[in-house]
Amino acid sequence: MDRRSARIHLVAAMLAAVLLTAGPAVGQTAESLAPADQAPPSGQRLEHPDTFDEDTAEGADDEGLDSELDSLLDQDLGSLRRTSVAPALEVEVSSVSRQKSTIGRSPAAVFVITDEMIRRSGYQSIPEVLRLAPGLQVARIDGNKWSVSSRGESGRFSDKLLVQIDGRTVYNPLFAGVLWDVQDVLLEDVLRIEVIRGPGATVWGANAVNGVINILTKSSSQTHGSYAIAGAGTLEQGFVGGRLGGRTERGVDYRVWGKWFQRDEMDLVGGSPYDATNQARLGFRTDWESPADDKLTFQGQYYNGESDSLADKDLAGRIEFDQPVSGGNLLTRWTRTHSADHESSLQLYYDRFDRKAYGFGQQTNIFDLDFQSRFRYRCDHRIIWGAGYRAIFDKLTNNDPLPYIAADPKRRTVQRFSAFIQDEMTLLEDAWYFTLGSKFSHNTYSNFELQPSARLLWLPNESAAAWCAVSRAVRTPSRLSADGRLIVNQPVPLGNFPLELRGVGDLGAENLVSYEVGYRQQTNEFFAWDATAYFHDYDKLQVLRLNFPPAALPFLDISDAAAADGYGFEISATAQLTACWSMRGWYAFQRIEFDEPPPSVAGSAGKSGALPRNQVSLTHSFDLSRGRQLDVITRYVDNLPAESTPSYVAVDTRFAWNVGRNLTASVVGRNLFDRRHPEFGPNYFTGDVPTEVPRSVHAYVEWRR
Amino acid sequence: MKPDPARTIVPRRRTGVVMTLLILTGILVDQPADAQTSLASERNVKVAYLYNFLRYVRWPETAYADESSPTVIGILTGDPHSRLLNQVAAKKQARGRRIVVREFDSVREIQACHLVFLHAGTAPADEAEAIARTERQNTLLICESVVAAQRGVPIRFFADHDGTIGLKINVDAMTRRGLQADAKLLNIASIERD
Repeated sequence: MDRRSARIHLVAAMLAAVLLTAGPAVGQTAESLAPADQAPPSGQRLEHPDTFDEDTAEGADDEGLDSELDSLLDQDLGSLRRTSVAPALEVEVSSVSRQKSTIGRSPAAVFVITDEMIRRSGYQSIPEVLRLAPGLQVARIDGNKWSVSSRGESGRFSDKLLVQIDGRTVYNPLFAGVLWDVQDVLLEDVLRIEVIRGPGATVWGANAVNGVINILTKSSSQTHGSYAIAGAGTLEQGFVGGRLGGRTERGVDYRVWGKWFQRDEMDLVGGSPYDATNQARLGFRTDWESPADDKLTFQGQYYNGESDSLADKDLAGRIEFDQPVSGGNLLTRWTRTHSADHESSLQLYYDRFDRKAYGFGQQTNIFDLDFQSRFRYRCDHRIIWGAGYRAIFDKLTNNDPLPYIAADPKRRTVQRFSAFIQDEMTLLEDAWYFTLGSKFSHNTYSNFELQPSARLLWLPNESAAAWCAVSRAVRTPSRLSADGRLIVNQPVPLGNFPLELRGVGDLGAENLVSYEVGYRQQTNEFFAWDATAYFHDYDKLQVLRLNFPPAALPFLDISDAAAADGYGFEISATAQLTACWSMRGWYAFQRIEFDEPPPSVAGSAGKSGALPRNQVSLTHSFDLSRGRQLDVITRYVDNLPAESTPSYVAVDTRFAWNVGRNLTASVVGRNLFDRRHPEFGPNYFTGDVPTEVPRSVHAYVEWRR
Repeated sequence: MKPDPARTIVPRRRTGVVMTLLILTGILVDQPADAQTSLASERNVKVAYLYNFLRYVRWPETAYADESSPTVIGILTGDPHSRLLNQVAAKKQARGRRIVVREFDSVREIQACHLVFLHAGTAPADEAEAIARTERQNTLLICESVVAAQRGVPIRFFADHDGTIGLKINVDAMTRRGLQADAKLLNIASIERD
């Protein structure tokens, strides 16, 4: 405990140091801005806070810019069309504060995976695409099971990450985590994926403890025309997809899309793998914009597939089983823009999914209603507030004589109310911003929860931003931790007999207080970098406890006695090295240490050694002549002692060229210099057998019109 | 537990191969491609496009008061392209006419322009207003915004897959405004209709 408090002091000292060193700069910035305030022509930027004015910022470079403009003016249209533009810090992001902003003005560790990055990676599933985000741990457990985590607890059932697809929360309320095999969209239609490391609980839902992943698809007004993709390969055995989009006579934009894939089994050394996956999915989206600034979105999708699994059960031995999965959802959102500074939106969605595994059937229906509104109060307060209601109806059945997982009661309705308010205060225009907010929530399992956060943003100049934040986030209890009963058939850790896990009802929420600092800079048109450091202080973490009642079988239950410290830093950079060669890289150092007081079952709150200490990723993108593209993604992931997984280096490449005006062909190689490697260990509660990721190649053609 | 060698030796060998590959591809690729594409700031490229629109779009004779009247570009006050456009106006002529840049405080004040450019920071409501206003005149409206669905905008910029800036030309909107785009311009653009 001493070490923990020492670390808290260290973090407090770091924050104080940042504030103190930044302090004197307040005066400087105020001085340099003062003349601008007096001279009206220079005050023009006030009207467009989202626009960096790099031209006035780089007055010294005027000569250079002028000559560049001069040469562009003399070019013919064709070569102008072929001119590439340098990237900027102005990438749009909305997840940090639930309203439109840019990365440069977001006081959080945020990264945006753009549609361009997705296309150039050649990846065919969402979890693979997430490997591009700095600091995320993405490990493939088998062909259809993933562990995606940010800064903390990892594993297939890790439960502190909030994932949304077009505003729909996709977590499984059974264990409050995400089953990635059923989260999919047509990747061509993804607008961007925003990834926030660290808590985003103030404006987002109850699970935004370690991170928020927000997957946004394009408005159907941006997807007119047709698109088709078809490919085949070794691991990606076959996949097809397509979309048709357009606008009706009444001005409604629409698209309908579909996809299907068949993934092969991965490798299992000394056994036969059984982890193939196939899935078909159909979806649509319509967007309508009225002349009076109303926007209406209606979208939905349906999927059906099978995720094969292999599990070790001590009594039955190794068993192969098919997990049928199906589900669908419908979402509608109405947005009204009252004025440039005042906007409200109302969203309603219905989500349903069914899956069956280990003889255990889960059928869940979710209704979610969400309202939010933003407006400006006086000129220096941007206020955003909202309220939400979610109802979850589930039915958990198991007809096995000795059920492996069972829940009591079998049917349950869980309700959750929440509200939030956040005020972004302008302390000094274009220099200092302070954001204060809180979320208030209430749910069936635990009572009222308060999740406040305070964030300070400092813009020393137009192309740099420094920020620090203190926030609290909670994870509300899941269905299984509150009233599940689990028969644990695994030999570890206590010997070979069935063990019962009993939920214990109201335990309250798991709690995180997080301290973060960050700095980012667009050094020039060709280089940008970003660094963040964090300290996460968790308490009331749920942990399994072994009970030995007299004259009865031992059983497991859950207590909230565990705590943890997480700390680390993440650095990422983008560089345009030559006109045709750009590079993106990141490095993350992350540690988490769990404190599980006896009689806890070790590793049941989380495993310290399941988060890679070091991760490095380097992406080279080459634009070759005649529209040919080559991308090389190299990733290093440190070993995971708790999962018996050695470190690995994986190299993924994509080479693409234009076959005709509308046709692009791509060849993708993954894990090229490695025959196979494991990325994660077994799960001793479900008995999932991990398999190894093999070397694979696939090729595909895309047709756009 | 895996045997130790897997942990130590194999990654080192892979790293070597990877580095070789990266260096080789870097060297092979760097040379020829430099001649093919070039890199510039986005604003310079867009301003160069705007200048080319004045050269490759034909306005009806009635759009000009007389032979010597200038071509007027309208932008909103605070547009980050303002300084660059003024540089172009100072140096260049298009189709034998001088270029004049006028700044307006709001879209409601826009009038008597040949070309109106709305930068990305323009509110969607203002864009809609500008479309309606300029449609009654022979005005070439260009929008930078890529998010909002724009009906009736003659030319829109968009960020293309390969990092270049592309054009979407709505030929119906051009015709309605009495504007005629040169084939050279249409050749490099994606053509849209209402």
